[in-house]
Amino acid sequence: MSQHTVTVNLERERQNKETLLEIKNLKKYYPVTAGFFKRKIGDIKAVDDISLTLKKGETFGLVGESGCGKSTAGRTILRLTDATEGQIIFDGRDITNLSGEKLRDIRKNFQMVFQDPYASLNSKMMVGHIIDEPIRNYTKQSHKQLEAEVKELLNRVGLREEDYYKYPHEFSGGQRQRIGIARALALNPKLIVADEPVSALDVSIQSQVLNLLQELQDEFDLTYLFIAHDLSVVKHMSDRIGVMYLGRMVEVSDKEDIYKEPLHPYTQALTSAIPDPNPLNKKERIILEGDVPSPQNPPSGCVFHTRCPMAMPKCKEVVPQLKEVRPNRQVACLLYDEK
Amino acid sequence: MPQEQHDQNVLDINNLHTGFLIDGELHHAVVDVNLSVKPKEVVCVVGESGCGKSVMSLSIMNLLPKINSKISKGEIIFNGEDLTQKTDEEMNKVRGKDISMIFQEPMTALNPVFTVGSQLQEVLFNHTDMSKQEARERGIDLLKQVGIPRPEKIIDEYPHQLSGGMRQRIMIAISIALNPKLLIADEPTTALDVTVQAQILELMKAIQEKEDMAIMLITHDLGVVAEMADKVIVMYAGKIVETANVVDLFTEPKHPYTKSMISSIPRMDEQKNKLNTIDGIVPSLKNMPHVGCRFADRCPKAFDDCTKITPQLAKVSDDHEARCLLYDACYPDTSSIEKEEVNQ
Repeated sequence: MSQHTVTVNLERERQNKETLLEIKNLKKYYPVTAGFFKRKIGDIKAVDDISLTLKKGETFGLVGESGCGKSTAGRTILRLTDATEGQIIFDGRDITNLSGEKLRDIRKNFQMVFQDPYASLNSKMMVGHIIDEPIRNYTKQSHKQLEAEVKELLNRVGLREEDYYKYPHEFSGGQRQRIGIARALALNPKLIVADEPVSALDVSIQSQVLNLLQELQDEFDLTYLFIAHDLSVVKHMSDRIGVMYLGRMVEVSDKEDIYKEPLHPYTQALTSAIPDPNPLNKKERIILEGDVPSPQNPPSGCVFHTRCPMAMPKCKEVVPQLKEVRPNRQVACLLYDEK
Repeated sequence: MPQEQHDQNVLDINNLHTGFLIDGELHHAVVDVNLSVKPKEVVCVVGESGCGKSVMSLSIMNLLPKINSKISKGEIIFNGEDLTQKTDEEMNKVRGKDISMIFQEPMTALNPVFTVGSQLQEVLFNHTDMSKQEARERGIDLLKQVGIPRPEKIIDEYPHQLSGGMRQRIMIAISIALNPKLLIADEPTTALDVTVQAQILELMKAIQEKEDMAIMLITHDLGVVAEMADKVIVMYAGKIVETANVVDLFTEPKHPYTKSMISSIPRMDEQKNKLNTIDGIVPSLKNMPHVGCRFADRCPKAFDDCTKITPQLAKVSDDHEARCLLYDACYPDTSSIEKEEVNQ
């Protein structure tokens, strides 16, 4: 079978897969207030109109610089904060406005792995109890059953059964992240949102955790939303990648395409800015001017036009929409508008 | 070491041992470090957290707290003088003028209650007898050099009004104010985004070429190393395990630790199904093995000798040193088997 047919088959397989999560025009604005009466004077548009679809068993990588809204997007999708506008459809059910018991019930299907393994574990709880807390929340099981279940989880994430009785401070950063992963797995979720799960770890430990996440995905048929700022890590983990800039999705594409032929000028700059761990590979580099503008007062038109090396006059006025410009490649840029 | 070599090098570190007092005992975070920095050279020190790279750089600057740490052995020769023998007052004349330093966190390295200008001018007032007006002009000039827009205005602003990248540019401006011979940059871009990191690295390269200074860049990011370095020093658990020029290090790494580290990073240009991993973690200061190689328990190539014999750093090929018993040269001389004299 030629390479081409393989990719076509894979493509077909993916399209046949069921959709697990669908985000439509999601917006999350934080109000800015001033004065004694907390008068609203504006909005911080943390997430501004993003749409995406996650198939079952897929990893979708969300990448962008700090302040681009990738974490807010992840938290809004998990209903940790309420969306300002838009729809979140999980497994065929609109969960955007669920509350109370209904929300609690559906929440066991999605879990989160946090960035900072030092802050996300309660230092006064025994590791065993950290991991079994989600199970205790949703089911009634005897202590023995719980303990057996947690010990199995500990084994699965590469920790030892004795670790059940220890406390978080006795572990290194990588091991703590494993505890966080075990906790996320405890309820057999369908979707895991991993928000910068390895950015606090050293390279050798980072690769251990990334490999573990991949193994678990195959074993438990998990769907990941993988959020990170490091494009090489995102590319390693994901099937498809969405690039965010200032609250907006600027490009969505298969991982290979994004590296080989980035379409949006921001993606081009981002991929070329990554230091290449090969000293013989001297590449042409696009250096962006300035910093990311404040989301409270984003530039008009295309939010990237202030730093874009290819900006045209109309970029200041027209807000580009995310459009499919090639099969499976969506870009929000006026350069691709007329073609 | 012969005198003429001292004249050539900007910095020579010989047999440096730095330790911390923990429960009344001295535990060494840096052991037997030997290195030299030539003029205009960019030397990268790379290693994971806890490998001693920052402690080494703070030892050079004599910035470690005297109350619980000690340079117990070795010398740091800069300009023909041993910095370890200098008093604080004498060091003040060196710091900021001949050797300057950039820190990882541009948020905490700048003082929030002083304007950018007064922090820039502080270094000028301390080391020269410039007038206020001159110092201000020099300050604006420096801000221009590091690519700050509207320098006349920014000089009167406070650090919190600036972004992370701008703050790091200000740190660089302060550190190059008096044309130092050596700039020590301790993870200067770790707290920054990739596009800003690219700007800062580019700026550091440009300044280094213009001002003829040597840079000692401390980082954990092998990508940054490949971009910037002439010479690379790999540290593990307080010891140098490999030194080589940058191309050799990436094309022919010798030490198993360096090899594993290079193959454990995800790459943009290739797709690996599984990343290489190094099992286990770096031993803590208190649990350092006294004899044998410090990487032995995590090493995929470890054999019997590794836990019994302490390897020494030795030449394994031209201009390439490693500390690993896989290479015969690294076996210690039988006459002077080093029985961890550091843990007296």
